[in-house]
Amino acid sequence: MSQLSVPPFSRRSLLTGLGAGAAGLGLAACGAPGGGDDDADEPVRDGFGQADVDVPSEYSDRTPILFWAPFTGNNFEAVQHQFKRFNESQDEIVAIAESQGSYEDLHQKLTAALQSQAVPDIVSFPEMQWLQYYFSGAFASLDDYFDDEWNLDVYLEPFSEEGKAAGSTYLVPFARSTPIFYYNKEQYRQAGLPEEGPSTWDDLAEFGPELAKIEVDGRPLATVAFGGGDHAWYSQGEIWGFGGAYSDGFDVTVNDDPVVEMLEFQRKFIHDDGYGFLGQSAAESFTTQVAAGIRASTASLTGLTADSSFEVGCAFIPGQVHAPTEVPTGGAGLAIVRSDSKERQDACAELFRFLAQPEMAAEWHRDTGYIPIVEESLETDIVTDLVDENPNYGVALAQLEHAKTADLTNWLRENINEIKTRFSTVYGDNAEVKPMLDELAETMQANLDDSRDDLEEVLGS
Amino acid sequence: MTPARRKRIIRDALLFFVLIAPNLTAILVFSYYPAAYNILLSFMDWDLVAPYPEWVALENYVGLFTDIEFWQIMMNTLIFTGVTVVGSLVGGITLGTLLASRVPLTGLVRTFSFTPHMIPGAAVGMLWLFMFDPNFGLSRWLFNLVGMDSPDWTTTSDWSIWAITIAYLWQRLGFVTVIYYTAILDLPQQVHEAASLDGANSFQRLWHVSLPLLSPITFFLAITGVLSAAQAFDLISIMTGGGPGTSSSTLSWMIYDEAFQNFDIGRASAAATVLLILLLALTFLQLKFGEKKVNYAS
Repeated sequence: MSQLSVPPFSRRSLLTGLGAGAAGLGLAACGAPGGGDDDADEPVRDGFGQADVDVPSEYSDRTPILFWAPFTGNNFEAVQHQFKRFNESQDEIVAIAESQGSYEDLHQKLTAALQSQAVPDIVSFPEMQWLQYYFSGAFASLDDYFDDEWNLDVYLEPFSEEGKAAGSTYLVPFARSTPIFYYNKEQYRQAGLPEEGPSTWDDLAEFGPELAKIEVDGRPLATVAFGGGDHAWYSQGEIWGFGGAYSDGFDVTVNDDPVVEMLEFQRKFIHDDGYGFLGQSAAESFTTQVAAGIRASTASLTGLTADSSFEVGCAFIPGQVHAPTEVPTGGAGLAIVRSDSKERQDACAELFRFLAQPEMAAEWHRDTGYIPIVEESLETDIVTDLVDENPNYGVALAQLEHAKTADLTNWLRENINEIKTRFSTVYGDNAEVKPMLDELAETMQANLDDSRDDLEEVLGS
Repeated sequence: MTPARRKRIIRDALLFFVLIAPNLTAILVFSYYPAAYNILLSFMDWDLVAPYPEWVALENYVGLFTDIEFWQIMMNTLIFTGVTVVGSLVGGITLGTLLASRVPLTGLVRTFSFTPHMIPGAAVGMLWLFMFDPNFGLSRWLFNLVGMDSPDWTTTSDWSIWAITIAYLWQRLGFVTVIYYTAILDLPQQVHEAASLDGANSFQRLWHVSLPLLSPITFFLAITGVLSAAQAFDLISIMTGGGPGTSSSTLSWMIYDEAFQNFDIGRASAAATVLLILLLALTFLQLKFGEKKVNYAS
C-alpha cells in the first residue's frame, strides 16, 4: 500500500485566505508559570518548592534531596545502591532517587513539574538535550561549588565540557556512554568468522552470507538488527566512519555524498542483501539470537551480558573510510534544578562530589556498564579486575579515545526526532535515500537556523 | 405572579443550580477551560519550558496545512477511524445476531468476545505485538500455512496502519457485540413473528426489521466509535510509535508527538484544535443526518 499524499495548500494562499496579517486578536503573550521577574543567575528561585518525596523515618532530621532518575531495572538499582552509600557516609543529607522511566518520560515530567512549580532537586538529561532547560533558567550553575578536589578536571575529557553553556557549568558527567557493537561470539565461531568481530561495514557485508547459513527457527540468521530507537545517535559514528557528518558547524551536511553512501549501504544491506532488519527491539532480537549483532549503548553491557545465554562479544562501532571511526558521546549528566532552597542545592552538590570519587564511579561502571566517568577510577581495582574478567568492558573503555560530541544539528531534540522518523523509512520501508536526506536536510537546517542565536550563546561565540 | 409562587420559583432555581454546580464546575474546569486554553495556545510558540509563550498568530495552522505529512496523518486517521467504526458495527451486529440466536456455548462466546474490551490498551498492544512478530508470532505460523512469509507488520509502512487497525478493531468488537446482543434480545418478538408470517426470510427480517429497530443503538455506537477511534493512543504508542516515518501516526498520536517529543506546544495545540473541530463537525453531521434514519419507535 503506498501512502496517500494530498497536495498541501501553498503557504501564501493560506496566509492570504486566512488573513493572517489581520489576525492579531489582541492576545499578548500569556504569562506562564515559571515566568515573572526571575533572575536566572540567582540559584534560588522563589515559588519553586520540592516535589513530593517520601523520606524514610530514620532520616527525617536530614535535608532531603530528590533525584528524578531516568533509569529503570538494573540501572535504577545501581543508582539506589550509590545513594545508599551516600546516605550512610554522612548524617546531614538524605538523597532519594525516584525512577521516572526513560529520558522521554523525564522530559515530560520535568516540564509538568516546572509548570506546577513543584520540582525535583536533581535531574539527568542526555548529551545536549538539557539545553532547553538552560534557556529557560531552570538549572543552577555549579561553578561556585567547584574547588581543587572536585571540578570538571576530575572527569574524562570528552564528557566534561558537555555540561557547559556560555562558559558556566550546569551538568556534571554521570551516566555517560558511547554506542558499541555487540555480537554473538558463538554464532560468529559457528560461521567461521573472526572472533574479534567486524571493524567496517564492508566486514559486516562479508560476514552476512556466512551468518545467513545458520538457521534460527527455520530462518537465516540476520547479521545486524536495527532497533526502532535512537537512529540519530547510532548513525552518528557510522556517518563519521563514512567520512560525512550531520552538519559542519551551522551548515547541515546530512545530504552530502558520504551520508548518502552510508545510508545507501545500510539500505542495500537490509533490503537487497537481506542481512539486516528493522525490529521492534534490537536488544531482544539479539538476546533471542535472531540477529548476530546490534549497535547499542555501552550502558547496556551489564544488562545484555546478563540477559544473553551465549557469549557476548563487543567491538568498536564499525567504520568504513575511517576505521576505527569516531563515536558520539552519549548518556546523561546531573543537574541541579533551581528551587526555593539554597540549602538543598548545596546538599545536591555534596552528593555530586561524593559520586565523583573514583571508587563510586568505578562501582557505577561495574553495576551498569556506563563509563567510569572519573579519570582516576580507571586505575581502581574494580575497573581493572572487571576488564580482566570480561574484556568487553575493556573494548568499551578503549573506544573512549575515539569519542567526541555529536554534530551541532543533534543538539536539538526536534532534529533527533526527525532523524529517527526518516531513517526508519529507509530501514523499514526501503525508502529512496537521497530524496529522503534532501528533505531531512531542509528541515534540520530550518531548525538549526531557528536556534542559531541560542546555540551561539551556548558556544560563547 | 404571587409572592409565594415567585419565592418558590427562586427557591427551585437556586436548588437546581446548587445541585448541578459540582458537575458544572468539574466540566468547566476540566473540559471547557483546557479546550479554550488549548485554542489559545494554538496561536502561540512555546516549548512548555520557556517562561513565556510567544504570539505567532496563524503560523501554527499555516505550518500544519502546508505540511504534506499532516495530510498523510489525516488520511491515516480517516482510514483507522473509518475501518474500525464500520468494521466493529458490521462485525458486532453479525456476532450479536449469532449470539442472540442461541447457538451452543453462547455464554462462553459472549464472555470471550467481551474480554478484549476489558483489557487495557497497553496490554492489547503487547499481545498483538507478539502475534504480529514475523519471527515467532502467530502471524508467521498463519502465513507459513499458505507458504508465505509473514509481513513485517509493525516496522513497514505498508502494514503498520493495518496492524494498529486490526488490534483496535479486535479490542472494540467485543463491546459493540455485547451492546448489539442485548439490544437484539430486547427487540419486540411480535414484529419478527409478523414478518415471518408474511414470508420474510432471515436476511429480510434482519434487513427490514432488526436493523431499523436497532438504529438508535447503531447511532450511539457510531458516534462513540468515531470519538473513541479518533482519540486512540495507547495501541499506537505500544505497537508502532506512529512509524515507520509517519505511516501509522494518527492525529491523536501526532498531538502527543509534537507536544511531548518535540515540545512544540503551539503546533500540538493547533492539531488538537483541528481534531476538536473535526469531531464536533462529524458529531453534528451524524446528529443531523443520522437522526433522520433513526427509528426510536422501539
